[in-house]
Formats: sequence, structure tokens, C-alpha cells
Amino acid sequence: MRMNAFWRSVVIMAFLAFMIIPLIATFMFSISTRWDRSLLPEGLTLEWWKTVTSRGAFLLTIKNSFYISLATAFALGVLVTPTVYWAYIKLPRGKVIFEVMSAFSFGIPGVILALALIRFYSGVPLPLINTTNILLLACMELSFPFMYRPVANALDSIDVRTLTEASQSLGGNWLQTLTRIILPNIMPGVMSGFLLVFSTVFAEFTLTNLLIGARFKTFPIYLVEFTRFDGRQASALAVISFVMAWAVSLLILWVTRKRAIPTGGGPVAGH
Amino acid sequence: MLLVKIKTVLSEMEIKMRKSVVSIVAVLLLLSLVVACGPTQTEGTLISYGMSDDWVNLGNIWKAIEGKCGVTHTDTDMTSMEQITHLDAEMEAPVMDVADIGFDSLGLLLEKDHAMSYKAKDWSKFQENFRDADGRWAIGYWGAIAFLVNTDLVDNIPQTWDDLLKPEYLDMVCSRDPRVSTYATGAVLAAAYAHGGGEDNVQPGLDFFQELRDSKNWREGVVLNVASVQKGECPISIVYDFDGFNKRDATGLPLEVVIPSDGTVGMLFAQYINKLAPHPNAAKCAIDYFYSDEGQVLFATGYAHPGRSDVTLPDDVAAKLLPESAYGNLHFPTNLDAFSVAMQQIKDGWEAIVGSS
Repeated sequence: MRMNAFWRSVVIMAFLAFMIIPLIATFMFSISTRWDRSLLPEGLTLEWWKTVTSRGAFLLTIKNSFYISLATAFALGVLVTPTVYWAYIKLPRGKVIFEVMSAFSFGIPGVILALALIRFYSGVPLPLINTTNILLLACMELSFPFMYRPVANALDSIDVRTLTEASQSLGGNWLQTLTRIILPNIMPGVMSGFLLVFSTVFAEFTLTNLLIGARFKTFPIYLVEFTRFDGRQASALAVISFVMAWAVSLLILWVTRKRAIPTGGGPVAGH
Repeated sequence: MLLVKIKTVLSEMEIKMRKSVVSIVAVLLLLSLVVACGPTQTEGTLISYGMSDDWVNLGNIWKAIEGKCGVTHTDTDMTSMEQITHLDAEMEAPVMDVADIGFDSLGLLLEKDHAMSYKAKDWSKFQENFRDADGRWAIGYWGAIAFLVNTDLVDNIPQTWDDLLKPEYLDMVCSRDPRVSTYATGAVLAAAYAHGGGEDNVQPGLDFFQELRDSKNWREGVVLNVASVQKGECPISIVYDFDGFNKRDATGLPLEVVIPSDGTVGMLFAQYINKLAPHPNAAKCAIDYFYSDEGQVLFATGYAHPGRSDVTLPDDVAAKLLPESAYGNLHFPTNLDAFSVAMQQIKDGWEAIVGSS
């Protein structure tokens, strides 16, 4: 037993070191004056942090990134949850279609997806090309599996059919069953989908750069601009990006945990 | 138990139903808001590809153009090849007005007929091989292949291509993959000139880089960029001279720019207007400025060599550049076709080098 505990802590420490050391090094680089000929930085300064945060584009790009990430996560949540639920009840075989669709975003590189979208939709008379709309839709396409997978897993873990039949036998309609019975039960899945989509889109560069570029400047585009001329300033932005992703994740987890209690009895077991 | 629970929930539902309808409507409203707003493009807009503020003093050049032409400028950074792919894709809904393209990709651009014919005000002042007879492009600036040396990490500064093979530079020389980076392709061509080759015979350059890799002086697994220079991972980098000076200024490191005395290549950058430019007048105004005396001096302030050889630089600008004597063995592309063929041969030849290692 003692040996077990020992090895467990070794593995955990190694994992933490693997995850955290690069982040610490990035942070150190962002506050160093010079770090090219010594093991540790030669001096410390906040100069780079001041430079990157003092530009007007800094807040604008954060705002834009939050906007596109939240919009994508909301839109996907509203679209995917009822659709997947509906497929589970009415069309179990349709699940295959979702599986195939969720493979798309892994199978098609962002560059190809972006240029194909431009090529196709520039002939379609809708306000898409060259606007944030096409970016929103492309991000939804790209991050679809991150919403679909957790929601499907959550639906697999409860007895959807029995819950639905019980609700219907008591006079609940489709919308009521979804919002008051199914949704509270799969909320953890929907939330983790929301978080995954949010963080995927928040860090998205390729699609944004190719579809709309600097005309809608997001945080990753701002960051990449800095990587071209100063690694220290880019590192400061990378750390900010990390911290923001953490903060948003914690915030959402905290809010949903609070809300999960009054929805009546917490998750209902299947049987 | 479960049924009771569901029943309670459903009765609560009657009251809260209205609330959830309201929230759904709110979400839909939010979505329609998302759909409604996008960047609007009015007159007075100028959109460029591959001409970012940190490159050859373009930040200041765009500022001047914004004032002179009454436009708001936005750039999206991309490589020459990405530009062409973009222009192909955007035929139905053009976005870009003006762009900067490497001389090696220019041939493909013209073949695809993406460049507008427009003879800028100062078009006639360019030497003949630096401008297109139809006015589709001209060379706004050029840069030479150079070594960027961190003098704190390197004791003896290499002066020639063969110097790089010396054992003292073990694991110190950074470049990029010539199949992807134009300056890395140019470096192979420069090494070819240094070893008796040239545009018509790139093999000596490929042989040199083969030798450099075999000597282990070539750093494997490090991507040359400003961060790897700052981290001391690249004591010697092969870059454009103007890029080296800009990296020095941005990092504050003791970096020295050395032009290899046995051979370098003047890498040309052409500017052009998109044939389908949404703001053609703004683009013409910008092109006029690039090629004006004032614009040419601003390029030189960003350490690039002006494309027009008749422009005299102010003393303070000239003083910051290397003296003309440093460029003793400078070779320019003889013409578009020969240069493009040579660059392609280098890319193909590199395949063999990588394959054999």
C-alpha cells in the first residue's frame, strides 16, 4: 500500500511538472529582460506586460474573442442539445449522421475548410462572406464534436426513453420534457460541452485569420502579431490567454453548481 | 418516486413556462444580433494582405497613407502562396485591395491574372527589370540574404558561407525549410553563387546545405523566429538583412548583421493591386505612395533597400544601413522566369537532401 501511494504521488508530480513547467517558463520569459545566454533570466521587468496591455487593440480583441466564443457556444448548445435528444427518441439510427459530422472537423484542416467556405458562400446571396456571421458558422462547424460528444455521453448515461415516456404520461409536452426533465439531467454534459467549445473558439486562429482576418481582430490574431517581433511580449499575452481560459472555466463551473441545487433533486437516476 | 418528482416539476412548469419562453426568445434575439452585425465596408477603406505593421516600417507607411489617401487600413498577414489561394477563392466576393508578394510567387500571380494594370506616378523612375511593362507590379523594396549573429554567443563572426562549416559553429546555424520559406530558398541560391553556381545551376547551393547539415552545424528541430533568437537557441540565423536589423531593434540583443562576402542574393518584393479590388482608388493612392520618394525613404528607414535606385536617402537613414561595400557579391534575379525556375529547382532538390538524411 505504501509503495502504491508513493508511486501515485510520483506519477501525479511528474504529470504536474509536465503541465506546469512550460507555463512557468513562458511566464518567466515574459518578465525577463534577457534570457539568451544564462540558465535563468538575467533581470526582471514588467515592461512587456505594460506594452501589450496598454494598446487599444488589447481590450478590443478580448471583447471580440469573448463575443465569438460565447456566441458559438450558445448557438451550438441551443442547436445541438434538442437535436441530439430528438435523435435519441425518434431516430436512434440517425446518430450515425452525427458521428460522421463530428469527424469532419478533425478530418478537414482549417485552411481547407476556410477557403472552401469562402469559395462556396461567395456565390450565395446571404450576408455571410466577409462578416462575422461566416466566422460564427465556421466555428460552430469546427467545434461541433466538442458539444456533441459530452451531450451524447450524458444522454447515454440516463434512460432517455423512460424519462420521456414518464413525462408524456403526465401530460408534459416535448418542450417541457426537454427543458424540465432531460436538460437538468444532462446539464453537466451540456456545460462541459459549452466550456470545450468556448475554449476551442477562444484559441482559434486559422479559420479566423483566413475567413475575416484582421478586420475582426480576435485575441489569437493579436497574439500572433506579437510573435513576429518579440517573444517576450507574445509570452505575456499567452499567459493572459491561459489565465482567462481558467477564469472562465471556473466561473462557469461555479455558476452551474450553484444553479444545479434549486432545479429540484439534482440529477435523477435512470431507474 | 421518480414519477412524483416529475409531476411536481411539471406543475412548477406551468408557472415557469413563461420564464423559459422569455429566455428562449432572448437567446434567439442574441443570435439574430450576431447575424446582424459584421464589419461594414465603406468608402475610405483599404485592405491589404501580407503587409503587417512590423515589416519594413510599414506601420509608419500605413499611417502616412491613411492621412494622405483618407482611408482606414487593415492588414491580414499571410504568405505569398496563401495570398494567391485567397484571391482564387475570393473571385466572387473580392476583399483585398493591395498586397506585397515575393518575386518567386509573382509569376504564378500573373499567370492567374490577379494583378491590375496601373502605372504609378513614379513608375518610369524604376529601372527596367524592377517594373512590369504593363504596370501590373514594381519592386518597392528588396533585401539581401544575411547572417544574423548573436555576438555574445559567437566569438568569431562568420563572414562567408564556408565559414559556417567550421567546427566552432557546431549546432549554431538556424534557417528554415526552403520548401516553405522564401528566404531559406534564397539562402540556397546565395550559397550556389558563392560556390560557382547561380540561377542556371543551383546544385552547388544544395550541395553546400547538404554539407552544412552533415556537419551538424545546422540546428535541427529549432524553428527560426524571433523567440528562438531571443532564447539564444539561434546564435547564427540566416535572414533578410532588413529583418535582421529589425530583430536587433526589437530584442535589444547584441545582434550583428553580416552579408556573406562570397555571395548574396537581392530578394525582391513586388506590390500590386488586386484586379477586382473593392477600393481601387484607395489602392492606387497607396501604390503611388509606396513608390514615391517619401515612401521609398520610409522603406529604407525600416532597413529595406528602396526599389528605386534614383532615390537619395537622407544621411541619418543611410547611416543606419550597411555601407554599399558590404554588398560586394550581390546578385539580383536576371528575370522573372529564370528566377522562378531556380527557386523551384531548389525546393525540389531540398526534398532529396531531407530524404537522404
